[in-house]
Amino acid sequence: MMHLVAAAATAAAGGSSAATSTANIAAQMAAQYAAAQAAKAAAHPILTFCQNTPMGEWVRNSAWAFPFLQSWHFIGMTMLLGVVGAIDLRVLGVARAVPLAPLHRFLPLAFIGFFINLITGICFFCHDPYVYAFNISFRIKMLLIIIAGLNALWFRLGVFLDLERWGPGIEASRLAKVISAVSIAIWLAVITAGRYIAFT
Amino acid sequence: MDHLLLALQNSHFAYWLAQGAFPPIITVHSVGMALLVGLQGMINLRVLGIGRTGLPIAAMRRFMKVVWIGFWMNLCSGILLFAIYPDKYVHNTLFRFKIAFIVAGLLIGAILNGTLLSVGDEYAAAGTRAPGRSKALAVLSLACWISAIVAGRYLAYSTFADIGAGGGSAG
Repeated sequence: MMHLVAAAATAAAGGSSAATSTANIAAQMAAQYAAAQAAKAAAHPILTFCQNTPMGEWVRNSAWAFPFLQSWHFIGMTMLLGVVGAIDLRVLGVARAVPLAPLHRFLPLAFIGFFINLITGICFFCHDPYVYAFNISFRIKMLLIIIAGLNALWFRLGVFLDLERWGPGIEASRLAKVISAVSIAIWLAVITAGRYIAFT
Repeated sequence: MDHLLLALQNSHFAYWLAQGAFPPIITVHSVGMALLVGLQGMINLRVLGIGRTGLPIAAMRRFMKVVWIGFWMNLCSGILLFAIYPDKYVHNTLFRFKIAFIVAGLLIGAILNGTLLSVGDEYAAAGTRAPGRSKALAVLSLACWISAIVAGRYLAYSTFADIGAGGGSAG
């Protein structure tokens, strides 16, 4: 915006019309810009609220907030994917020697990873809500996370009671394999969508 | 050596990488990281005694092949990422630290595998405890891999800050 004002000012100064004041044009454009910002804020009160939160301010104003939060976001992702991936791979027949019920007891670690990523993710969002909210990769990522959650719920309701039976070397059911294959596919897609946020 | 790196950086290959191939390569790098560090982390936690009930240490050895798949994904994608801006990485202290953490993490993982996970039937029973030195190695392994992740994240931003080629926004 500011370079537009400067360009207008330069054009006006270079022009021959004495009636056109440089300061006037700049003030007009600044007023239009402020009005447009106010309209945007009125149209999206939630996004504006997010933008004005302390964490939004912090991430925008600190040079190292981004790599700091990203480090935690990647650690959280590793915790989540490590536990969920291990369970899913075991269900699919990789590492069949591992009994499923005790492996599944690592699940709280996945939830800790998820909450680390929820909190750091909210910080990312608040740093520039107008960009994230309309970013197609971000929207796809959020949708995929919801689907992954529903899929995990299906696992909990559909096959959780069978886990005790799937001891060392015992094959999981067809249903469990389908849910686990979907789980792995969705989480890989979540990572992919997340990485593409910066490029769309 | 520097001439060679400069030639690589100015090559059509590096240009193609920087233009279109960058997003898929970092995606592969992230997935590989999740597999490598995620599964190695699970093994380490079991060695430390977390989730010990009903879970044999020796059985966790089976996850090492997934760890290695993750490693090869990241070695290949990492070489491609290096090829885009080699001279920014080769003199970067943070990059050297990251590589050192990875080498140490791999060595510790191999030692744990050789001395604990793959020593016959000794740790095949559920609920067995790992010896203290193995637990120490597991803590070191976790520290190395977390450090490698953090170094990698800070590296991405320090590199982009030098080059001025985007980066500062979403990830």
